[in-house]
Amino acid sequence: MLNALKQFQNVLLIGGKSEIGLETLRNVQMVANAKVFLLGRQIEVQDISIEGAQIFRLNYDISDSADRIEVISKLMDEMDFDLVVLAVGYLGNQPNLSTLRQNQEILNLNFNHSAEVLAFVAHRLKVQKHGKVLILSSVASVRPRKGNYVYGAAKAGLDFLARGLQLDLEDSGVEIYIARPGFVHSRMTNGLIPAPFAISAEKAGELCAKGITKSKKVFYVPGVLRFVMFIVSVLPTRILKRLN
Amino acid sequence: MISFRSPFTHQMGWGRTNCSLGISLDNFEELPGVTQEVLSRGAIPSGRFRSYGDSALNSGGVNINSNKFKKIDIQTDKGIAICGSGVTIGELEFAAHLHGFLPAVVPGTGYVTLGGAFASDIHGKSQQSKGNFSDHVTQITLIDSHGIAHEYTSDSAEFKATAGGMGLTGFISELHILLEAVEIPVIYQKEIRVKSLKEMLSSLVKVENEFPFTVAWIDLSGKYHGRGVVTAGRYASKDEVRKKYNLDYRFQKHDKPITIPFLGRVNVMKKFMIRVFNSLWYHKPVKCGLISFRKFMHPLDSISNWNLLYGKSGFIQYQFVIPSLESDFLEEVLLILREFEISSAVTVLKKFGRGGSGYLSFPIPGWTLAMDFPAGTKNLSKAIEILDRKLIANGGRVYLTKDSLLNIDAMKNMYNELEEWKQMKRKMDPACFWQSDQSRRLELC
Ligand SMILES: Cc1cc2nc3c(=O)[nH]c(=O)nc-3n(C[C@H](O)[C@H](O)[C@H](O)COP(=O)(O)OP(=O)(O)OC[C@H]3O[C@@H](n4cnc5c(N)ncnc54)[C@H](O)[C@@H]3O)c2cc1C
Repeated sequence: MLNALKQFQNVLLIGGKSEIGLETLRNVQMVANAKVFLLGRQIEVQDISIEGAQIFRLNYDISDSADRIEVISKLMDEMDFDLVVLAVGYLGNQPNLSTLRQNQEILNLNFNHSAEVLAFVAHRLKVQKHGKVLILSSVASVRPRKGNYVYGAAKAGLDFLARGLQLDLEDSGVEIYIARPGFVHSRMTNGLIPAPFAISAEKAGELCAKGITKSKKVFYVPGVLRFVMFIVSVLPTRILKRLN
Repeated sequence: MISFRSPFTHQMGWGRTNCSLGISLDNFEELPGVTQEVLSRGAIPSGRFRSYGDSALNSGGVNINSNKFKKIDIQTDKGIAICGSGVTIGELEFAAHLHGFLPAVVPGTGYVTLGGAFASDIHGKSQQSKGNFSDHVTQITLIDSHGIAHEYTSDSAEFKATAGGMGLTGFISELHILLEAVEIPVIYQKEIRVKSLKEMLSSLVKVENEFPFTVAWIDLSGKYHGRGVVTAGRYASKDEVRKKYNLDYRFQKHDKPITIPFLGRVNVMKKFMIRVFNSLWYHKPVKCGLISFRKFMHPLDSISNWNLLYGKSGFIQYQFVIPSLESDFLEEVLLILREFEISSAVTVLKKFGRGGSGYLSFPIPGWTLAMDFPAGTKNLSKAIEILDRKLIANGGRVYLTKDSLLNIDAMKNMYNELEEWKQMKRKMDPACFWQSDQSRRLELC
């Protein structure tokens, strides 16, 4: 339960190794000894700490259909969560029509499975009538680019679903936040050429933590990308191609 | 008929820092009509929501209000009142005074219900002489999660678990309250202005032999010297009152408080204002003489919505008790607040005489200090963390009915009979039906 200073007591990070996710948690206001649950593949072997919080690491594979909801459901039976961060992300390789299987995996992880989890979490929070969800979407969801349109499609789907949930959950006490990071230096983007306005995971986490205290429910990370992406989304394809 | 309006309503504590959506019911008969989903969140009894934080809130669940439990039966021969839990202290005072009685323990406001008073085991200005609210209750009727009523007398463990049990052991429907016979509901009041904390403490100790009611207001802003005003009172005799014709001590059935308009959006209690307000209070002329019982006991009740002065983000009341009659700890508190530049708008200091009889009753012998901080105060969280830690080290505790910031470990370390209480909770409510936002925050079920 939130206390009077709106500090979180129980927090869940789905995609527990996500650097942006973890950095976000390092920057949000939590009570002393808050419980932070990190869900991720082989997360037990990771050495992760967040100052002042108790960390619980649970092995979790979102592609495992038996566990996908079960693990989260059990946790949510135990306690109310004040903040759930959905940070599952899989970039994959450059889209290629001949690697359809891999494309499918990108779609499954970033959209199908994530969507199922998101819908479940949203429903549970609706029952408890409080709590925040932060979804890590991406600027890639705004307009297709040749290099990552499958990933973009999946994130666009999740982003769309989340915006729908925002409407559905209005006045329910539950708040859904969508963060659309641009290029963030992290394990996921290692080896890629940084795009303009690239930032570190630490900075991205700090901005996400700030974002979920504001009234704007869809925000870009960093904020300047709102304008950049607005321009990108209205530019005629012809010009955009040339810029690429 | 299909209703499209959400059955959920917003509920808030008096401090307005915590707000929850719950379903409000007036009686148990409506419970079966509530969906399973909502019932899975349990229920919490509520009165007038004068608790400051989240004690009477139940996010996503049910809130059973006592406002239909309004019976008042004054038995003059025995000097007891048999009352429904939704009767307010003010209403009981009115009914009792018509028969020459008054309740022995009343809080700073008349707008709390008897159910709420018992569930928080409240104290008043008479604490050092007369103990706590539950000390004057001989029997309660408690409705369990199946809707079955049980009667418990003051020697039972169920009674002890419910006094101060924050509504988590069941719904109190009726109470037998011992009243005090009084000649006339008038108080002889004496105010003493003091310059320092030391002077305040010694003055409070000195006056208590003569006056059963004592309290001090202390200035926690500016220089933090601990200056303030000590107020003491005793019942006046009929003779004393007769000499003073113009005193209007009559009780109104319903007092009409003033409502300040346009409040609630911005915080008026900024640091500067707090300082000005405290300074004015300190310099106001001190009074000695007769005053009506209600004005003396419930000075804040003349304004109905003063809690809105703190604006949208609300305020936090932090009340603690420390089991020592030395001034060291209190001096330290002043220092901490001064260091963090945190000022309190209204601060009340009082001496507690005896401990409470409930497992979770707040009072223990020592000093209690209640402070009001605007929720947006810088460094508040840090300062309170330090205060909590120091309190624990010195055997002190924070009052649950005012609390909205405690954490699980701190609570465990403050209430030494918590385990006994938890055992009774498991016995009385094995399915943990009675739950509140506070019980979730502090893992009380
Ligand atoms: C201006 C002001 C001055 C105050 N002064 C004092 C003071 O001097 N001394 C003091 O001790 N306190 C004081 N208080 C605190 C107040 O007395 C308590 O918070 C009291 O419990 C509020 O009663 P309520 O009817 O509003 O109950 P609520 O705030 O609605 O509920 C408080 C708690 O009681 C439980 N409860 C309520 N009704 C029932 C019931 N029928 N059965 C079981 N549980 C129930 C609730 O579940 C909750 O846990 C003050 C509060 C204010 C706002």
